[in-house]
Amino acid sequence: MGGGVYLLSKFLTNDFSFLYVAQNSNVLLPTFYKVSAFWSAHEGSFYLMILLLSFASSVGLYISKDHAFTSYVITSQGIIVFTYLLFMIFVSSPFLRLDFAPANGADLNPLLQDPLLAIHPPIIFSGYVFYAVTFCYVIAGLFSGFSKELFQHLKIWAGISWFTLSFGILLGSIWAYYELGWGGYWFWDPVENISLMPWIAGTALTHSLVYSRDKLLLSWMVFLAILTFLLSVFGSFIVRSGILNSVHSFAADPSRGIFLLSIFALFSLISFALFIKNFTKMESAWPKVGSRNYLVVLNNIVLSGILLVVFIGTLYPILTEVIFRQKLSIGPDYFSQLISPLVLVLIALFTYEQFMSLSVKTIFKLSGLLVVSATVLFIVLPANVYLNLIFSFVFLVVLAIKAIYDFQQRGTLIQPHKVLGHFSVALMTLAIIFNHNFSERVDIRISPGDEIKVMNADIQFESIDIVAEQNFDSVKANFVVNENITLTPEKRIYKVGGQITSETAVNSNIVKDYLIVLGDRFEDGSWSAAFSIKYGILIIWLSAGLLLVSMLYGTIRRA
Amino acid sequence: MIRKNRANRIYLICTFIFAAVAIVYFVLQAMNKNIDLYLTPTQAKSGQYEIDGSFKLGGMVAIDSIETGSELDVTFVVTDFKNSMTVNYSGVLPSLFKENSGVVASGFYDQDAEIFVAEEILAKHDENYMPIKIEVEN
Repeated sequence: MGGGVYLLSKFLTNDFSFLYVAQNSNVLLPTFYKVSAFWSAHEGSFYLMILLLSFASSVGLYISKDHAFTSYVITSQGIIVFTYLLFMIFVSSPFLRLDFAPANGADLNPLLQDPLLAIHPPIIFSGYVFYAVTFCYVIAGLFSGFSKELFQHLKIWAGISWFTLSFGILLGSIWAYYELGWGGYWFWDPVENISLMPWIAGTALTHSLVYSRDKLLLSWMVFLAILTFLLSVFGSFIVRSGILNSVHSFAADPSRGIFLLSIFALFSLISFALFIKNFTKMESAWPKVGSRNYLVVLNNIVLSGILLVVFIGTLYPILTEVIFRQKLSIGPDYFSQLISPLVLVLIALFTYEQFMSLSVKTIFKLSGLLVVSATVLFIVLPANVYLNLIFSFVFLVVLAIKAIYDFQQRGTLIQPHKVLGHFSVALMTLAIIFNHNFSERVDIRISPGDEIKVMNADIQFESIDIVAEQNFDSVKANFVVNENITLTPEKRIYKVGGQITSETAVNSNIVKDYLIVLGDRFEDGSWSAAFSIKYGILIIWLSAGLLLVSMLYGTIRRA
Repeated sequence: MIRKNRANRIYLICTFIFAAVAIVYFVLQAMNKNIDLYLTPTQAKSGQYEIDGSFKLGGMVAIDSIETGSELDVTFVVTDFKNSMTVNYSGVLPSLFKENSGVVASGFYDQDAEIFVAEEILAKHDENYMPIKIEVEN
């Protein structure tokens, strides 16, 4: 802890004799970003993770009373922290000194100078850290047996981890949308996929806790917990180590890469050895076909499928580059084509789950009604509407009606977090498909004072200003869309390093967003600009917010 | 009871195998459709690779080669210092795009006009960003 405060103070006082400070900070950098520069590169973020893990285990210790499993939990946490510390001290120390301190630092990457991104990495890392804690409880269970109290702790920790990681991913997605300027919230980029993989495994884990408490498929739950932990270790190692962007930088610092791989291999080996050795302790029954637990198992199977799709899509290009020296890329369509039907299957499963208590005959009638209404919608709506969109809409309406009906009948909802969570997943799916289906983008060339009409919108380019800020100069363009929406996209030139970034201008309402990204100036004084209309972005954020609320409620109601 | 448990086990394992086979089948199919190779101009011209469909062309933007046309048309030359290829693009260029720095253009090669028609341009600020073969050869 003391070391963390010390390093932070070096950032704040511009002590560039520390290599890490010199590489990631600068005299001109605003104080807020000097703090966030702490975790802006590999060494610092790793150090932060160790601090968080130690902190989380002490808090966990303080809360959990003296159970049979407590000592095992502490031991496994200790081993993880110890291994991480070894790594930090030998190959990734943020405390390296330079013999001659430079007068100024190399600055924080301008793309990272954003308030959202300042808090996004520590939250993702907290998510990973909490999954490490969750994992330790599962390992403790392997030694001391899975008691009721252990399950209580497991559910709370799995819930906290799930919530934190989801929140971190959401922040990253919002940042990508507003800062990267390509008008998207998810690019199926390796860096994003790496954080999504532990999230999918964690989602499966949280659901598997439902049935494994009934002593069903206990070993599967343990397997998922191990998998989630390993994927999050993998994620935290790989993101900032440079492996993802280029295999070349991996080779540039082989000691770190080899160390990382050996830690990962060590953790995998130990956990799976424990898993196999204690397999008999996890003897449990199999779920009855068609039961509620069986549905949760189906959910796990579908989620594992999604995980596999993301895993192959992310790692295959890296492998071909390392083994065959052939660079290739897997387009975003690979992911969306494979994952959207799987998500619809998930939605169908949890919608069906809401109606399970009804008789087979009623369910049969209802699903007939569902197919008929989808068909009617398909015929009535214009031809360019996706079939997926119609299905997700119908499921959403069905879920909403059922929830309202139940609430009126009983005056309360059974497991409201489940109902709300599933509802928001359906809503998010609808919004995402809606966005995918209708969003448009067009590139324009326009001079100040001109007006053009594209995609049923009037764009007026009023003027252009030059503004000087503390650590960058900027060119601001003033656009007016449809006579009342002002958009001012910017181009910034950073004083240190001369990096140029584009600041997207966004105007949001519940149905659609207008975005303008400023391009380049031509010799005749006109500018290029990318103008896009994106649908349903606010609904995506809203549904993600609802999902987070349901996760949080589902967790704290147990505490 | 035990017999019932066994039946449940068989059902579930069958579901699992069925799901696994289906997923692998669809993954392979989707991969076939969505994989793009990264090629340097030398590789693209070598005839060893299939360049009828879409691929990604990587290299450096040659110095003094950027020419803007009417509207948003822009032409530039991508080079790996051995061979080069003219690229045509219409649209807003990324802010990191500049001459003598790395670029990845995705699109297709027009054999008759001998021009690479780009649908998307990605610029990498890092000047080390080049397809790995060139770095090894240099």
